[in-house]
Amino acid sequence: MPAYRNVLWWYVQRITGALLVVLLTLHFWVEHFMSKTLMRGDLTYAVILSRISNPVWQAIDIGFLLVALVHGLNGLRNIVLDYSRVGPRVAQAITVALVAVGLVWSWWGIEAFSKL
Amino acid sequence: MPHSSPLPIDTLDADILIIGAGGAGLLAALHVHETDPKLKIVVAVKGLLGQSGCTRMVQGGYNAVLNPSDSLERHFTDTIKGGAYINNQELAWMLVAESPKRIVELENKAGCIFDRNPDGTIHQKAFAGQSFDRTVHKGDLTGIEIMSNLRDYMLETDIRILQECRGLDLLTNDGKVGGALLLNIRTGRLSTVRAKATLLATGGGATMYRISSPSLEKSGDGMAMARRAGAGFVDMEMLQFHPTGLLVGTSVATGGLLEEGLRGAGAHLYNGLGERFMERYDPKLERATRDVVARSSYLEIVAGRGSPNGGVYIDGSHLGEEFLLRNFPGMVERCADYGFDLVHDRVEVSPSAHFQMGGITIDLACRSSLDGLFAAGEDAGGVHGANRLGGNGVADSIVFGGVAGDSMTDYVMGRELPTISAAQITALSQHWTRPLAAARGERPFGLREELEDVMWDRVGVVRNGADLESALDTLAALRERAQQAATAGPAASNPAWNALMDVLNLCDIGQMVAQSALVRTESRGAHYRLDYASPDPSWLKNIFLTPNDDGDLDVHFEPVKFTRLAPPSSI
Amino acid sequence: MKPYQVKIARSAGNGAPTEVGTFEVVLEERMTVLDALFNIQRTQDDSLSFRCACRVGMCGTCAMYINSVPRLACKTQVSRLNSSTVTIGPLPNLPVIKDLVVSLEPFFEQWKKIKPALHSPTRDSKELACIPATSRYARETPQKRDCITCGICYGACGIKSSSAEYLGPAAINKAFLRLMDPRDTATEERLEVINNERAGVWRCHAQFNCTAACPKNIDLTDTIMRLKRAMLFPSGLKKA
Repeated sequence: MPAYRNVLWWYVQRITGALLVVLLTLHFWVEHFMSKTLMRGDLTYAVILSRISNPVWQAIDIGFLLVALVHGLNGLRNIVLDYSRVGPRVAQAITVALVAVGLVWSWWGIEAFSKL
Repeated sequence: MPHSSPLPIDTLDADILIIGAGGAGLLAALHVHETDPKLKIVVAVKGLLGQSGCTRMVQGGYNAVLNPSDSLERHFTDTIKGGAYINNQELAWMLVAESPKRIVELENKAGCIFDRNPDGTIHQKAFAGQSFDRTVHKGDLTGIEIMSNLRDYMLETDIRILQECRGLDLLTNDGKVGGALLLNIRTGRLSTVRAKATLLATGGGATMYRISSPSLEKSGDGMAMARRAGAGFVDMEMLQFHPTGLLVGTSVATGGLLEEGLRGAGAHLYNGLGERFMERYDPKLERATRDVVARSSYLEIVAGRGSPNGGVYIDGSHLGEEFLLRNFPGMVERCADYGFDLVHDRVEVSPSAHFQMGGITIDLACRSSLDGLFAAGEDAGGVHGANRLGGNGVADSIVFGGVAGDSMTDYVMGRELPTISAAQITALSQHWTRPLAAARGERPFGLREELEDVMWDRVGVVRNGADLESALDTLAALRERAQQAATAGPAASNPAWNALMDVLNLCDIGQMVAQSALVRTESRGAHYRLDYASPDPSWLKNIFLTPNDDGDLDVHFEPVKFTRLAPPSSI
Repeated sequence: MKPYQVKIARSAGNGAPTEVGTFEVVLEERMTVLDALFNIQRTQDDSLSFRCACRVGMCGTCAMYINSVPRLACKTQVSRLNSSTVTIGPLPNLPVIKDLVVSLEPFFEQWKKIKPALHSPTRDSKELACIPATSRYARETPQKRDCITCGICYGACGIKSSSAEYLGPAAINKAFLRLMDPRDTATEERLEVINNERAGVWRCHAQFNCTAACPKNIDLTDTIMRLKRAMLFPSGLKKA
């Protein structure tokens, strides 16, 4: 018997949720507490640029972006589905809109790195 | 006069009309549907489908011979001995012989699963009055498993279910039954269902007693309708009192049962003095049959040796917490709901009116004395004689429900729909809606209390001739008053009106119980007369009641036919 | 004997409650909410409508909203509510017929969708299925089979209050039982229904309201979570 598509989304929501805990903690730590320059108070554009030019940091940031978008937008879609007063066609339109938002924001975020 | 004209009447035609949807009614529907799915079945149920009646309330279980070391003959002998030898032996044999097959149907067709042994076979437990552990069960709440699954079966068929619809009266024409007049309790609409065959499976009227166990909506509607239509009855004096009904003050929970399996498993009974009183009455102690234990408890209570609230105590604490929680979780919970601790304490119980062994006379095809009318389950009489064994009640409903289904399927073959009388329908609807328009008159709730008191005090566990005679007078007067009672208001959802109809039906049945009890001048099974305190071999007879045109009852006796098992000479 | 104030949501016909009736009732110590209702019906207002059959927690017809919690009236001792005021309304999430009587039709419409009956190729067999007491079905289902279709979980469910399409906990529990049933073969049809993203298990967000309210102590949230996990490898449901 095949697995059902919806179960994959259910698992995706749980896995992205778990990843967000890790990535968000990392993000906060790196951005606000860890950086020596930050603690000394001489945070500059050059310091930031040097970090986000590192391909490892680029991968982490893009991953963070995608995971957050998938989790957040799928969460929104779930909220819409919880209210069946929103009919199936409207729900589908909202889904399409959410996918579009996700694609645009993904492109926007990823595209930013190409300008470095 | 807002209600001077009868209510709107819907009409419906069916091949088979089933009134009542407990185990008997639904098994009948299942059998008809399995044999010929094209037959149009209408089932009327007084409450919600699968959630009313007493099959739902079955705790202990269902007797069936399934183990190779057991035998049909042993089950039969237990049933006849339990019934003090006045059972209709052919009906009793049918019960015993069909019961194992019906277990298979309940599982394979309806979808139940009963408790199992480690090897995958069905587990059977001990019940009082039986020579073998043959009671099939699902935990200690077997009825929920049976009724929920039967309901689910019905939901996937096109059988027409009329929920919260009560039977008022049968439609008759030339002594032939052609359907019934029904009332939808919620909408207040009447409907006539014209049917080629009509089955009464509403359950009995033990609720006419002050302390009683059945579901509260039951009021023996089937028997009352059959009496008014002129059907014959058998052994109406035989009404069983279950020994262990809970005592919860004036709560409606009073009378609700603690199951027989507790005594089967070794629970003890004590009187108010702390004596294990069953030692005085029967060598089998608490495992004696229900009639003996109930009567013994009653005699202790009336002798002033009862508990403070007029009962006795059941004590299972010596069986251990682990055992009770594993085997009787439902009973432990039921006690806890009312603040009693079955695990560590004695719990006050009383005999509780439980089941009518007597009922509509039927043959081996569940046919009543009226053409077109069938009866099954508690509505029918004769299977259990003077006392029913625990675990034979649900077996009766399931077995004879099936028999009735098969026999009605045969009966309707090639028959035309009967003609019904418009004049009768008008007269009946005027009769039943009269209280809605009556501006002044007694309310029904007080009448119901009086009825329950008369039945309990004078037609109860222990009877005597003088009490029975005065009870008959009181019942006649009560019926007269009920005929004049008023329940003005809408027809839809009118609790008082429905309570009044219940009282009228119960008066009709109560009178049959009292009259038959007065006739049987001996003590046998559940029927105990202080003025004739022992069994009399010359009373190995059945008492038949036939309503006559004046509304009275003609009485006649017939010796029991011992077609399979003769009584020992000592009985 | 203690006096209580009982406030009951009344309604004349179809729809929502229209007014509140207030009654004074004196009750013995062990009395239940059901006793209070009968007391009012018999002595104060005999038009008061409510459902009741078995009165001992087996039929499931006296479910109502008592002091802001859906419960069975027959299993709720008034003294245990720890309040001298008892406020009673009809079971939420279902249309009201009269007073405390609701229509269970929406509940059973959902129930029917999961195919509650047994679908088995051995339905005409004369033999009973071999189901060892040690098997997964025999060990894991007995309590879940005690469901009395009272509708309390349906009335307690937060998702149900916003979604007409959601199956509700009881129907999903019944689906689970048939899916676990070693004799039943309608697995794919049922999985199709409970996999529906608008009506099926995916709508449950594990608020546990159903589990907390169930008068038969059925862990309905556990049932739903098990089904969600099982959807990845559905054939595991039938494993003994």
